[in-house]
Amino acid sequence: MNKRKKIGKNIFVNLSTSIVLILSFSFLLFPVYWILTMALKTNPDILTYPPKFFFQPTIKGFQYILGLAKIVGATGVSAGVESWFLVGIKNSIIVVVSTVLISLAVGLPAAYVLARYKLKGKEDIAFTILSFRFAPPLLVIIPLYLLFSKIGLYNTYISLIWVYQLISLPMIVWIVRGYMEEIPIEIEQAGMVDGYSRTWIFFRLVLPLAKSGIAAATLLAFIYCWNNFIFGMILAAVYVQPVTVQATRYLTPDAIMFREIAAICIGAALPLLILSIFLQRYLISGLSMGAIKR
Amino acid sequence: MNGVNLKSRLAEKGPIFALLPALFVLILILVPFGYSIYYSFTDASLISRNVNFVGFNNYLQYFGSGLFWHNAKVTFSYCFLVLFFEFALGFIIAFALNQDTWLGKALRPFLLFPLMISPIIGTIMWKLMMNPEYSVLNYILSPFGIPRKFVWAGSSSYALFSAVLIDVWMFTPFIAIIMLAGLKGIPPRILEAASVDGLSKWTSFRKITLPLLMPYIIICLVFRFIDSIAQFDIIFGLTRGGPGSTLMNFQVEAYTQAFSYYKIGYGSSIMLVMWLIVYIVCFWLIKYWRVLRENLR
Repeated sequence: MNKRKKIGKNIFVNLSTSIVLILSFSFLLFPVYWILTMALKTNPDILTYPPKFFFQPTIKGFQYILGLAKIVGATGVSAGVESWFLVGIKNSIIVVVSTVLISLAVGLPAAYVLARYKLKGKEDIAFTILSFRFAPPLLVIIPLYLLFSKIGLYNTYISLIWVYQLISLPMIVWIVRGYMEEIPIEIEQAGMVDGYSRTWIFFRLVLPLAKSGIAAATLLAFIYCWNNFIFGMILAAVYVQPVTVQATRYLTPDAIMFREIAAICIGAALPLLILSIFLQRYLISGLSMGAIKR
Repeated sequence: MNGVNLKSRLAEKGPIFALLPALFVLILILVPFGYSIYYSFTDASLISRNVNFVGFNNYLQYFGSGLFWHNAKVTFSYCFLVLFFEFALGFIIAFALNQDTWLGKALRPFLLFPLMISPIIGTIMWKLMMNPEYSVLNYILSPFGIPRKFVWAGSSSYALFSAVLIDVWMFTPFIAIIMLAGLKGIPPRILEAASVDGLSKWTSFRKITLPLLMPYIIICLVFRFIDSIAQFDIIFGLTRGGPGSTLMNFQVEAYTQAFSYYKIGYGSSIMLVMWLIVYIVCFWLIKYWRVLRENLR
């Protein structure tokens, strides 16, 4: 009898768990699903009420944003001969990849020193670096905007790569440092006894052993830089701005280009969505700045 | 003799050289910060070349005009609502996923989707769904009495709620995934031992699970608190702080003052006030987190 009671309880737990999961995941995933269908609809299918859940899909929206077809605006004048989407993707790739590479080059040695050497004020330096993760972005952007305008760096890739260090450098230093601290020091000592230099030990022993931490940090830095909006909006103009800013370019007051906006949202987000499915375990460690390791 | 000496001294200085590049970049960020402080005491403007020192005028004006209280009210009510709903929902999702049902395992890879989408892009997506003419949201919610032409962000009564809804959608997965990692980190034998000892589910949750989750809760609190106080993308993307000034938090207000009214000095002083608040709260939150982080190792 006790056993039957237990089974009954299990079924109840399973059922309520399933209901919770279905409801919460519908909330989390429905917007993605809906915007994807919107990007595949024709305008009459979008501009209708009640909303259509079944429709004849078309890839016209994606053709438009890729510059393969012309967008006809509300007034009948064709706009967007240029593909802002492709311009944005190109800029995002240039800026984000350079940013992360520079952060790795600068941040990995720093992480190692902060993990291993006994330095005065080491923790304070480490915390200063972390605090940039939490600095209100506008605080540095307002003066940088004036400074960059003055020295001719406004609207250049260099200015964006510079400012993006604010996002990616703290992540790389903090996450990788945590992983390096966990490498048994005996391994490095053995290397030293064998007469290898610190540099050799760093490149040949420490970096390979910390590689899952480096992967987590690189991935997170990439995602956060890719998703940033405010830096590109203020410090650059049309031809340098990343895809997140280009997406807002289609938001006209009459908002007639529903399908194209939807297509851009999907296009900008899709690479990261696919990444997140396969690399979730690295993301957990990165999201907590290395506080949680897997 | 000098050769040997120099070599050993170089080896000693090695680590500092390795830190230099990082410090170099950071100083390039600290300089603008210093400039911000300077600007906040001037009437610097985007449309005038003259910069005059005005003492504490910007600050006096900010606190005296009541604008500070409005911005603070918006910022903190947004922050409080967002934290409340995200923790509640994040906890529920983490516990449900921790049951390891087949459904949970099938859905888990998609948990981080909203978090992976850029906040500005996510906001645009919700804006498309909230369009007053063809809102799919109003259609889905119509059984709950939401009228067809319900206005979300465009009405001053529901603008805050709309922004909070988007934030909750975007960042609940963050709390869920960290809590889930925390739950998975609890050795099952501890909970088994507790149930053998006759502890009730509720007692073992309160006495065992919750304390073990504490470091994870603090991590979420630190990250979500700071990010929601400094939220810009969602509010800016949704209404640019409107309708009227309904959604003007510190960040959007400072942006508007600096780039719409060209008052760089005034905007800087708003940012500094906000930075001070964030700094004070975070100083002890991060300190506490640091202690817990060590314990977690």
